[in-house]
Amino acid sequence: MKKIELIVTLQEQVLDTQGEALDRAVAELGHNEVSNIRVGKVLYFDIAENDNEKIENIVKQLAERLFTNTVIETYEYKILDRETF
Amino acid sequence: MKFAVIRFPGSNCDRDLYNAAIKSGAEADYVDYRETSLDNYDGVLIPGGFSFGDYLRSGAMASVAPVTAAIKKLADEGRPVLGICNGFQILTEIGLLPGALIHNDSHTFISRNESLKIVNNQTAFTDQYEHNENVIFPIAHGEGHYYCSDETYEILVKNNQIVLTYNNNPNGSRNDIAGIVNEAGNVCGMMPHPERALETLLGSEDGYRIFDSIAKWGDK
Repeated sequence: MKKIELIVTLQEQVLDTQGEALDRAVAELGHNEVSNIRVGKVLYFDIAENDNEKIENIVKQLAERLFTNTVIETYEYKILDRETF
Repeated sequence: MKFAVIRFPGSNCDRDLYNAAIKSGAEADYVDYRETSLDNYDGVLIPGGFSFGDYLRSGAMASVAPVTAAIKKLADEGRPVLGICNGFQILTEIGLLPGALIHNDSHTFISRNESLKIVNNQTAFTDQYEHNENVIFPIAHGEGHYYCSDETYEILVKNNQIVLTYNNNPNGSRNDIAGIVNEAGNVCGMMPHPERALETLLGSEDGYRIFDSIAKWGDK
């Protein structure tokens, strides 16, 4: 059993309206040194496998079939050392 | 013509679409998202709303619902598939239409009557309109910004797949795109709601001809 961390973000050229709103919000808070906020999402899940190659295949397949829309998003993932939270 | 009006949990324009089909003289049934066959139907209407609560992304969960494989099969057979609003988002998520729908530039939900232009009347969905005819359909969406790559856009232009454009772009859509068809011309997706524009009394009847056209699909 391994725990996966999958991070999904909008591709660089895709407008991130949430990020833009947050840019304005942090400026309101006086943090003019902060900019270019991009908002993504993170998925954690367990896979009942121990073979890394099999795990990577499952993660990639699910990431491209469902977890992300590869037209607008990109993803990266980590196989975490700990088995579960 | 007999249409399947697909109902996902969270669909909310299903009755409007059913009404539009009936009004245009076609038959229609509500079909549950757990159905696996659409063999008894001549076409599919995918309604607007918030299927599966827009969990993950608009249309993402619907893209793996049991009925989706049947929708793809029917589309591959050349029969008409029309997705409106969330239905358009679903059609891009399942790969029947190119591109994607992202948040409106303003990040606000916009609900209003919208002035649109029928830029392509050579499709079986829009053949009762004049070329560049202006129409009024309501829009009601938070994620209606049509996004596609430069490469996809060139293909859309080359194949004359752009059907409907905004006269006053409300959401940042690429080149004002409001609706497209697939290359074969039998799958159409649009963010505006022609099914809410069937009665002058309610503001506009400009949407009726789309449904009248597809009700006569079998005669084409």
